[in-house]
Amino acid sequence: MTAALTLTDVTLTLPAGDETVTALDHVSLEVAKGELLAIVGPSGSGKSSLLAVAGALMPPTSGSVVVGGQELTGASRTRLSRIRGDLIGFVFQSTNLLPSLTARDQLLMVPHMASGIRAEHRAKADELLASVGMSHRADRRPAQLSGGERQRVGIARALMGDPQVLLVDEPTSALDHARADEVVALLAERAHATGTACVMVTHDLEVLTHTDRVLRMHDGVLGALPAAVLG
Amino acid sequence: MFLALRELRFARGRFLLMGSVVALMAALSVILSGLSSGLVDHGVSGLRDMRADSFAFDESVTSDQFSRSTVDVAAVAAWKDAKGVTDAAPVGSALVHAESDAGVQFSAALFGITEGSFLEPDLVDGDSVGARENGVVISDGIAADGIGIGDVITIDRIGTELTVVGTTGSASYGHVAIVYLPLATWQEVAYGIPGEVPSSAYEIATAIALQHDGELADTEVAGTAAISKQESFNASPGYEAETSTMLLIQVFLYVISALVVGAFFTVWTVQRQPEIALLKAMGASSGYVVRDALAQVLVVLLGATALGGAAGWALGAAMPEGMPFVLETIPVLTGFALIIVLGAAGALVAIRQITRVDPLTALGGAR
Ligand SMILES: Nc1ncnc2c1ncn2[C@@H]1O[C@H](COP(=O)(O)OP(=O)(O)OP(=O)(O)O)[C@@H](O)[C@H]1O
Ligand SMILES: [Mg+2]
Repeated sequence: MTAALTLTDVTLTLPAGDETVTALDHVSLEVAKGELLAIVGPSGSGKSSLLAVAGALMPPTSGSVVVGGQELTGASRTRLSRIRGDLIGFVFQSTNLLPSLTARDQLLMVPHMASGIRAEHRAKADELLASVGMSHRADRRPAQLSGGERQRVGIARALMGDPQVLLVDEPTSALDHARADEVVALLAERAHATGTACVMVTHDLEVLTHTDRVLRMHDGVLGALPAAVLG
Repeated sequence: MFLALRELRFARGRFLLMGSVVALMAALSVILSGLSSGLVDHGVSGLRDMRADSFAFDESVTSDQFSRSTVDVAAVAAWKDAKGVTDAAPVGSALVHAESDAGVQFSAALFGITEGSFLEPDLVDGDSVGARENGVVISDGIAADGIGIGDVITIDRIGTELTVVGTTGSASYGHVAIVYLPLATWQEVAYGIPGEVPSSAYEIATAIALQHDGELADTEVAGTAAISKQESFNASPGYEAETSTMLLIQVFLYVISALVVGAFFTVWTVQRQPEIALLKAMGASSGYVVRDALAQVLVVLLGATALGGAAGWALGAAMPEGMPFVLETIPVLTGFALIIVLGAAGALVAIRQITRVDPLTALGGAR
């Protein structure tokens, strides 16, 4: 198995008033292609920080991050922006979609930013919408979709650019149990089907049944999940 | 444009409101431009159309020269000898009230000219000034009052009787139509007392009109000082006050429209910040988002200016005859260009915020 995402000895300290907070404390991590990894942990433990660093949104204070074979350390802003577009897909908890675009256009936005929309992109967008069960909602805007439908469109959008790594922050916090389960099952299925490495942060222990591996974040330290937690 | 156009459609209420403001500004700019060209026309077209390059006034008079200056006709000869001057002719001006034999009362600007000089107006109909004793040429404004060739005009108080022998175009001066009359007749009117006129009255004029090649070498000759025709506009009644007021109003309009557009897009950009962060997290460069936003600004500005401008033009074209209103393509288009360019500049200041949006904020409130 080859790793799609590798973090080596990553530390992130953030200024908080006069002191500094260690959001990530010597974190090392490898995520294989097609793997769905869940990260759980209490609030403030550094889960979002991990996604930010792995997703080229923020440089780590020290350590190295490699996404799809590309080293992020020392890359310029323009290159980081290109790497985000080419190699990384995000599904955010809120503001996942653009309010003015229909579900289909959310997906078409991705090739439009990169190169321009061609016929094959339209076909691919329709295919992806079908794969997340949203074909019948393709012409609706986010305001006319339910929370779960929005998350599914968000997942399809994140997959539109064929990312090596899919980063997902609390995809289920706005959903009821059945919907949450559906969304995570979809993530697992898509990760396995497309070979995309998927890192999902969650509070929701119920959805962990679909994941390949679970790690726990605590005070910026990434470690194995104590067996007791899963019950 | 992909996102820009869809946002326009999505937030059409807001953009329509904003576009209406720009459209009204564009319409207003057409009206103001027409009014200011019209005022210039009503104020000085009689001067502008004269085939003179400069006017020499009594050197001791420095304002309102057309009503206050008096020069000696002998200065014509001195000016003809001056370097660069190709021709010179005396001109007398006065604003009077008059009445036609049919009982029509009107105000008029008198321009006394010597027959055969370069100051003769272009005739639309009839004969030239002085074709018969006290024969005068009138401009459109008086003809519009129903006065025509062969009619007799009596100047109030002085009682001088003038016979219309010809008509010229739409020239006016000081917002009234013009009567071109023989200089000698003007001199009698200017003397102001009916009856026997002393011979000294026949030696005066208001100014010496000059034609010359290039710049005048010497602007002061025989107690008179020459100013260019353009400068002489300021010497006509009310011209400076009118044009500077109109200019001030127009400057305000353009500044306000730039500020309105800037303010709208500032609010709009602030509202869009989460979406901009999302776009950037998805890999969009700042340049991509800025270009898209700018395209949106231009679509709004161009569309609104075109619509508002067309409406303003239609309104202007429907202005009643006699209003000081003239639609000239270049000033009107300049107005549109200013609304668009200044508006875009105002919006650009707002759009610049896009480059400062951190994609990290897309991770949401928890982050
Ligand atoms: N911009 C910031 N500046 C300074 N400190 C920050 C900043 N953002 C987060 N932190 C701190 O970094 C630590 C990790 O935050 P992070 O958002 O990664 O936690 P989290 O595990 O995602 O929490 P949650 O489950 O509540 O989303 C916290 O102690 C937080 O207070
Ligand atoms: Mg978080």
